[in-house]
Amino acid sequence: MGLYLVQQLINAISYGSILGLLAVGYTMIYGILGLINFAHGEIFMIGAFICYFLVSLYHVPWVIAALLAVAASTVAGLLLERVVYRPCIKRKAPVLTVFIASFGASLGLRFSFMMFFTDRRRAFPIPEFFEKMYFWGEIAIGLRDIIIFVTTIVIMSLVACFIKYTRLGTAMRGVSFDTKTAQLMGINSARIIVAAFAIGSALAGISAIEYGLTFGIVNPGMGFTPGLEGFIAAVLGGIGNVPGAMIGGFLIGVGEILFVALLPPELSPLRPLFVWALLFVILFLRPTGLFRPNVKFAGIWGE
Amino acid sequence: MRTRENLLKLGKVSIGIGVAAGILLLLDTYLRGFYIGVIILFGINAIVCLGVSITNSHANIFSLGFGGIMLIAAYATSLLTLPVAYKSQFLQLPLWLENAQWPFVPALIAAGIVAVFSSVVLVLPAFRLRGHYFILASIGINIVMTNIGINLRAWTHGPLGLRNIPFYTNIWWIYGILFLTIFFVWKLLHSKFGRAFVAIGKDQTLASVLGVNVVLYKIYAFIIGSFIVGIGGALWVHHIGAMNPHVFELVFVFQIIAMLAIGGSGTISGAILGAAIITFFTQLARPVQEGFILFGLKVPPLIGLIQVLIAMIIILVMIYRPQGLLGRHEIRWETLHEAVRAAHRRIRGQT
Amino acid sequence: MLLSMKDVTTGYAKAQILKDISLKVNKKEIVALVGANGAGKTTTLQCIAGVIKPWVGNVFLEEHDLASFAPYQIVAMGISYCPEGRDIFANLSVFENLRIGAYLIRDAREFKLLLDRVYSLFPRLYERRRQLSGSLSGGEQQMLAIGRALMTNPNLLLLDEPSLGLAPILVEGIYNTIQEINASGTAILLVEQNVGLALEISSRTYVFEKGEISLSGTSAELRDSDYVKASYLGIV
Repeated sequence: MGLYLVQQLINAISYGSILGLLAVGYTMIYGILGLINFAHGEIFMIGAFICYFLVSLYHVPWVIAALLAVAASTVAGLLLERVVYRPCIKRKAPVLTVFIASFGASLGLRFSFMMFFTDRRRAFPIPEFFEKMYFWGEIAIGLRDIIIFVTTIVIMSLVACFIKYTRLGTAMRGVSFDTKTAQLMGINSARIIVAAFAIGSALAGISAIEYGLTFGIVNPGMGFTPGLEGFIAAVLGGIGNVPGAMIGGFLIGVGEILFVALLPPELSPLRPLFVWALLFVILFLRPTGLFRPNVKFAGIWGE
Repeated sequence: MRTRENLLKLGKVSIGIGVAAGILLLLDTYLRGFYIGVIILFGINAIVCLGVSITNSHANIFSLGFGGIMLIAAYATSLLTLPVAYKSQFLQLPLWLENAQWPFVPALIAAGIVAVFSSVVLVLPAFRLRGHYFILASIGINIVMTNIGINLRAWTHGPLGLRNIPFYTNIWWIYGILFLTIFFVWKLLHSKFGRAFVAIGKDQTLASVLGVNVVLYKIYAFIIGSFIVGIGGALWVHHIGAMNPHVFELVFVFQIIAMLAIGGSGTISGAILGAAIITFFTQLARPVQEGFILFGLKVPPLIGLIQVLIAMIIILVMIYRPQGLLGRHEIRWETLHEAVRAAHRRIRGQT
Repeated sequence: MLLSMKDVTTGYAKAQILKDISLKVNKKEIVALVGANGAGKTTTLQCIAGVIKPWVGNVFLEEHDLASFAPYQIVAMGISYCPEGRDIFANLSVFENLRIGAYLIRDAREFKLLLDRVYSLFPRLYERRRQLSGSLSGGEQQMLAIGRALMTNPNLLLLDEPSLGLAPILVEGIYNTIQEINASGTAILLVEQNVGLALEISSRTYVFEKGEISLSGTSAELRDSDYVKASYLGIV
C-alpha cells in the first residue's frame, strides 16, 4: 500500500505541475485585470496542437517544436487580449460583459479547432528520450516525471523572483492592487496587461507540453478540464497571489490523484467531484481562498 | 372613463390572443417535422431565457448553474412519465417511482418543484461567495450534476440516458405556457415584489439600506427563476423523448447566456428576441454544417461552425453593444406605433 | 513659468465642477489652493495630472499642452500627483512602494540617490522599509505617499490634502518636510483645507469657491485680507 501510494504521488506531482503552471497564468491575468480569462484552457490546447502538428506533419525536431509551441500559446494569448479583451476594457465594459465575451472566446476557439481538426484524439509526440525509467527499489520513476518536475520548479521560481524583485514584476503587483494609482507612477497599465497575458500564456504553453508528455493525448476539448481545475487552483490560492496559485495547483493535482488512489475503484469516476468538493469546502471556510488575495478589493467588483 | 379604458384593453388582449391562436393553428396544420420542431425549440428556449433572466439579469445574480438544475428537473420528470416497462427493465428505482405514470401537467409542476428544491439546496450555500467565486461555484454545479448523471446508473441509466419518454409536448402546450410565463414575469416585474428584485439588481447595498431584505429576495428570485427553468427542461424532455447527462452542459448554458446577451437581458422582449435569433439561426444553419455544394465546389462538413459563429457574434455584441439589441427598451404597442410613425415621416420627408 | 491653466472648464462625466479656471505655478514656488469642500480644488489637481481632461481651455506644462497625454505620460513629463486619501499599495512593503514610484527611473544610481533623499526626508520610512505598508500608521502612510510621489523626481509636485486626518504634531512634521522638498528645487501645488497652514507655507494662494477662483494673490496679501480673515480664518 505504501509503495502504491508513493508511486501515485510521483504521478500526482506531474499533474500538480501542470495545474500549477496553468493556475499561475490564470491568477496573473485575473489579478491584473479582475477578469477570468475563460479561454486560458484553449490557449493551453493550442500549444499542444502546434507541437503535435510541427512534429507529426513537418518533422520538426521535438525540442524546437516544443519551444515554438510555447511561442504559439503566447501569440494566441496576445491576440486574444488584442481582439477580445482590449476593446472591452477600452469601452469600460462591466465585468459581466467581459466574462460573457471570455466565455464566448473559449467556446469559439474550442469549436474552431473541432471544426477544422475534428474531435479525434491524436497522439502527442513523445520522444523516446522521455520514456526512460529509473527504478528505486520497486518504484518506477520516469525520466519524464523528473524533467517535468524540475522544469516546473525552475520556472515557478523564476516567475516568483520576477514578480518579487524586478521592476516590471513589482509594477504588475501594483497594477494588480490598484490600477488607477499605478498610472500615477508613470506605469502604462496597457503594457502591463500585455505583459501579464504574454507570461500567463507562455506558462500555459509549457503546461500543455507537460500535459502532452504525461497523458499523450491531444484533442480540441483537452483544455476544458485542466483549464477549469487551474482556475480553481488560482481561486484557492487567492486571486492575484502567484505563489498561492502554485501551491493551489499542487494541492489539487496531488489531492485528485490521492483521492483516486485511496478510494475503492468504483468511486474513481467521481474524481472531478473531488476537486469541486474541495473547492466548495475551502471557499466555505475561507471565502477568499487559502492565501491572501492580491487585489485591493478581495471581494471582487469593488465590493 | 375607466370602464372604457378597461374595455379597450380587454379588446386589445382578446384580439392579440385570437391572432396568436390563429397563427399557432396555421403552423400546426401546415408545418411538419423539422420546422415545427424549430418553432417548439424556440418556445422552450424562450421560456428558459425568461427564467434565467429573472435570476441573472433582474436580480443580478449571475449564476451559470441553471444547466445543472434543468438536468435534475428533466431527469425527475422523465422518471415520473416513463412507461413502467422501460423503468423496470433498465433502472433500479424505488417501487413507487417505478410504477409512477404521471400525466403531463403534474409532471411539469413536479419538475418545477424539483428544480426549486435543488437550487435551494445547491446554490444557497454558495451565496456567501461573491462575484467570480460565485460564478465558479455555479459552473461547478453543472459539472457535478453531469457527473452524477453519468454515474448514478440506477436512476439515470448512465451515459446512455433514458429513452421512450412520452411525447407530451406540442405547440399548444409550449406557447400556452410561454404566454403564461410572459404574463407572469411581466406582472411580477411590475409588482412591488418584483421591483425589489430590480432594486437589488441595480444596487445591492442601496437596496439593503432602503430596507429590502437582500438575501431573502435573492432567494425568491432564485426560486422563481428555477421553477420556470425546471418547467422548460421538462418541456424539452417531453419533446425530444430522450434524455442523457450531457444535454444541459456548458455549451447549452452558453447558448442561453448568448440569447440573453444578444436580445438584451433587461427586458422580456429582449429574452424572447434573443431566443428567437439564436434558435432559428442554430437550427436552420444545421444543414450548412453537414456540408453542401457551393458553386460547384463541395464544401466539407464543418461540425461546430455554428458554435463558432455564435461565439464570434457574442464577442462582437459584447464589445459594441453590450446591452443587447433591445437594451432596456421593451417592445410595446407604443414602440410599434412610434416606429411606424417615424417611418411614415421619413417617407413623407423624402417626397 | 512651469505650469499654467487657462480658462479651464471641466468636470466628471456630465457634472461640471470647474468654470474658467486660470492659474499658474512658477518654478520652485509653493502655490496653495484653498476653499470649502467640493469647491473644485481636487478636480483641478486631477485635471493637471491628466486624470480628467479640460472640456474648455488648456493646461500647459512649460509650452506643452497636456490635453493629448495620458496620466502615465504626464508623470514622465515631470508632474507627480499625490492624491488625497493616501492610496499606497498596501500589499507591498515600504521599499517596494518607493520602487514602484520610481518605475520610470532606469538608472540604478539615480534610483539610489532618489531613495536616499526620501529616506533622509522621512527617516521613519527608512526604519520601516521592509514593513508591509498596509500596517503603517496614518502619518507614516502619508509620508510614504509623498515619498513615493518624489521618486519620480518631479519638477512639480501636486499634493492633495497632506494634513488630512493627521494629528497636529505630525502635520507640523510633514509641512516642515514639504518646505525641505521645495528648498531642493521642486515646485509644489498644494491643496489644503487648513487655510492658515496653507497661507503660511505658500508664496501665492488661490481661493476656490463653487468651482471658480474667487480670490488670488500673494499669501501675504491674502493673510491680511478681511474677507479671507472672516470667511476662512474665523477672525472677525
